[in-house]
Amino acid sequence: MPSSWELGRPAGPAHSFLEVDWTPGEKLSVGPEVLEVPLHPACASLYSLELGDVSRRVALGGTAPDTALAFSEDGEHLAVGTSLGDLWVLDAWTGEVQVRRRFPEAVVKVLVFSGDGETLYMAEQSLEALVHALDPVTLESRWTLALSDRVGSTPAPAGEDLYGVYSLPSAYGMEELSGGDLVLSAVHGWNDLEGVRRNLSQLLRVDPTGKVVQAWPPEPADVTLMHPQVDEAGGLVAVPVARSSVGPAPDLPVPGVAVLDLIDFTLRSSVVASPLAPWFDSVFFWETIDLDVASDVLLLGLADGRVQIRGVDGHLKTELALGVPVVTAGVPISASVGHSRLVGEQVVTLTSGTNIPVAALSSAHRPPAAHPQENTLWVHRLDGDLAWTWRGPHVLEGLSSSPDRRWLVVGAGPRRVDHREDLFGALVFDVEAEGLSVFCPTESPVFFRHTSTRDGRVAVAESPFLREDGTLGGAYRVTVLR
Amino acid sequence: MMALLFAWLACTPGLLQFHVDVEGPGLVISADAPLEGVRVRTETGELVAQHLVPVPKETVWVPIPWVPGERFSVEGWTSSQQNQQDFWAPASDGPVSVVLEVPLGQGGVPLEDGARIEVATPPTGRTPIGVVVTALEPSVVRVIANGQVESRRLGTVGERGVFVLEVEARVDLQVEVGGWAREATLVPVSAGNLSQSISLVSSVFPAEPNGRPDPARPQGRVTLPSTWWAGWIRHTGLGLRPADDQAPWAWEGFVLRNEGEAALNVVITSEVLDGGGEAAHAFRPRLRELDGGLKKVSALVRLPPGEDVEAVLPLFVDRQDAVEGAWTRRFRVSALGASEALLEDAAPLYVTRGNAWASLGFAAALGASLLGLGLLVARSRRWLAGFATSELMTISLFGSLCFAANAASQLVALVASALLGPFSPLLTGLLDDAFRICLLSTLVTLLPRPGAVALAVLVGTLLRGLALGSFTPVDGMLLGGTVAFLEAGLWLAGLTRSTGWREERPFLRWVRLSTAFGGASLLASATGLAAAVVLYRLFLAQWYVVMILALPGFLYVLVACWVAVGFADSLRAVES
Repeated sequence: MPSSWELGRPAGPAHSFLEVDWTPGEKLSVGPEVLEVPLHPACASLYSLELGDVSRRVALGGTAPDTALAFSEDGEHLAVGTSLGDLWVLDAWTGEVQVRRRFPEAVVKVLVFSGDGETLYMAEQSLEALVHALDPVTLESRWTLALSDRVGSTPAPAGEDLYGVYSLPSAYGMEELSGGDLVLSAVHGWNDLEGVRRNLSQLLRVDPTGKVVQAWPPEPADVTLMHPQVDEAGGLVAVPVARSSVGPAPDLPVPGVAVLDLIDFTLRSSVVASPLAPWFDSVFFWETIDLDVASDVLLLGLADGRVQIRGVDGHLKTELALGVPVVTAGVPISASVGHSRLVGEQVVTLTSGTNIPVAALSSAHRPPAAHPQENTLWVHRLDGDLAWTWRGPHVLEGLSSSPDRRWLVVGAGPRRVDHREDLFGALVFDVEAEGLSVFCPTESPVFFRHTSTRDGRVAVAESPFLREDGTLGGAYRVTVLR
Repeated sequence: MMALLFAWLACTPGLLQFHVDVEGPGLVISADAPLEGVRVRTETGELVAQHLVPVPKETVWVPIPWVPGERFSVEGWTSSQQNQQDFWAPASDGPVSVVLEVPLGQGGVPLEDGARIEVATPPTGRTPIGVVVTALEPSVVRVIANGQVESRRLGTVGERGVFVLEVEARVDLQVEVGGWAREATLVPVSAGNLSQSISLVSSVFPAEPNGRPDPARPQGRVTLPSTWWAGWIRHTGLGLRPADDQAPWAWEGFVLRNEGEAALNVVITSEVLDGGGEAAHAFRPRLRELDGGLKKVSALVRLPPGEDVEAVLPLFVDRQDAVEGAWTRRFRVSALGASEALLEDAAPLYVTRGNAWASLGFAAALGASLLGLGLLVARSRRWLAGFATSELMTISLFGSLCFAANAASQLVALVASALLGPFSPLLTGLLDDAFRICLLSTLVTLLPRPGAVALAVLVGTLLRGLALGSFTPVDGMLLGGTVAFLEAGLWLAGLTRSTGWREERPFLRWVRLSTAFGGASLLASATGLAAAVVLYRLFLAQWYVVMILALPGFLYVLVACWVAVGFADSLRAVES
């Protein structure tokens, strides 16, 4: 009788994957072996791929390096792009490197597999801000599109400037439509030679040959349009409109959200977010916008701790005060909404750490929690009722869902209040069971962009971290867990 | 046999020691050796979870939704040891656990039924209290404060509800879940001398990110490039890349001490105020607009009792908005949950921009240095050939005396610098500048020809280099400048163009000597200060520059020239 190893398919160097039905607590016969199924599932690390040396960046106090991850639609390939300009395509089960290409002087910012798996789209953050349509087998470019032709470029940042790369143009958000078109946002925010902050951005629809067929606004505008959200079934795209430049703002919903027709990019509705008075006089949002036309929901999460559930026409349905400020001696301490998205008929929100950083040099002198609602996962129904919530000892980083929206993945990232090393990894939540399904530990903190497959594999990017004694721990690698 | 048994026992790995506790929705296992894995079973032996770690760690967190009083069997193992022990989750006497944070943000204590809790409140203002309710079973929680009811449904085990109360007067508090209830009374008491227990041990600006003073920048000062330089760079496009306005210009380092008996979580806030006491726009934080336009930087620190705590805050500077002048850097410490500051401190902050005069002076110093060194290279052979050997001996003698004066002044400077600090040049200038000028004035009276003074200065410099090991590029630069200014001054004053002036009246000779040496000394001192400002990044007050130029740079020279007139007459009489 073949062993359970022989019955399964190879999954990394030390595992074999065999799909069987099981129930918690049962004794399961697999081949000649009888396995004891635990009441709560466990997680296995299938394989890892070292991505290069970023120790200098970490040692200098930089944040985790940008890393883009994408599984192909069939789950057979995993594309990994790094801040060092490397792009790999791996066998997504075994971790074997199938092809690799280096893009000099570029950060691989966004990766998207086409639905048929025949094309890998890659957007780089670089002087030219190229978007590549790549053959996933050879990684040769079929066509490239220079976003810098539209939103300009800036001089190459100094080598010692840890964050200088973010002054270069790039695509922030890219999604493939069923017809093969891409919707992407060309964004550029930089300081000009006089030290004045400037923005230039434009939302683009690009056909499968690389030709721009639609743009909004018609000319690049002095705003940032980061992370647009497409509802293809509803025929709309929600575009966050923000601004960091100085001077008069263009005639756009700043700061807020523009809802555009997906075909001709005409403005269908818009929302301008008001600051949370009396504590704040500005508004900031990150990857916290989502759209579901069928449910008539436009979701907007704000860094001041509010989550607004609006109709697609922009009217406010309900507002959730998840991390609104606690005021201490005139200083508003809020828990920012770092990530929020619609998952089925639910609003999933991650309240991150507070907007007030810690100042103590020693971890022993860092307060354990500044805001009672920080570092918490919230799941609300569309009417604003709380469905369930979860909070553990982890620092929550990023929110993604499996393609079938059954599983939520939340990263467990770098810690600022202590130096524990057992709380890095990926937390996988079961939307149907309304709770944590499994915690997959990793050696290093997890970057906030992660991805997963329908069958439950989760790809995370780890990055080195500074220990209390100043030495570096962990490594820059991608790890696939299941 | 017994020996073998003992040897076997000695080689047997010891039992792994570990401790189990609950932490959030899971168990945390802390061992005395790095754990490779943990297995948790129910009391009936069912496998609850098996947790394998990617890298062995001494602490492992296992997600298990425990219920109060539940018993587990926990097995942990390392590469060489293993052990198993039973663990009971903490019992609870109700459907929820209730923790009070008094005030909010200062850490929680479990609510005991009937407790009387004192809340430190300031004379004016209110103190926020956090009532943190965690569901141990799905519950509808009612928090009643002085009859006002706030109700919330906690639908899942582990769900938390945080109820915030603002306390300024006595509060009768009840937490109810169905028929289960807990009561407490919150009694405001004076905040007392809490503020006296917090002290600011030290404050450093500018500091490095580690809180240590930045050695490359002057303390208490923001130094920016001069406006003309920034404008020139801007117009010529020679700048490689713009300054990052979202990066801190520098950091402020603080050491705080909590002399109280309990740890305190505090917010420290720093802002820069203009002359009218308003927060200055030029120093607003620029990070992602998260400050909300507050124009102040805040951060959190925990102050354990009896400890000095180092903290750092970034300081942002808008390089275009910041104008030269005096500002005030204000620092506040407030306890989390308090409405008033525990500690305030202020320090002056000066903004200075690069000095155009220093830049021009440095350029002049470079130009003069090149001219003087060029003169030495081009003319030294002719000068040496033009002087008789006895004259060269005289030049060497005076050069050696200049070195002796300089060496003596350096010895005196060691003590004078310690006693007088920046005023030591007033004393050492008497020995060095005055005596040297006196010698050189005498020399030029004896040998009124181009090159005599330059060669004497060269001899003095070479002797100093050989004896004191001073051969730096800056020394070369200063030598060139001194030669250029002296030879030019002497030539312009007519001292090296003819010998007739030696027969003039003593007063007229003094005027000629003072014009030549005074002018040369003034220029050499000014360019020397400019070079020091640029090369050693010194920041000199205007009055100090004027003092150095007026006294050792000029007045001492006039006196030295007057002494030299009589001294030279005596020597000439001996010579003749």
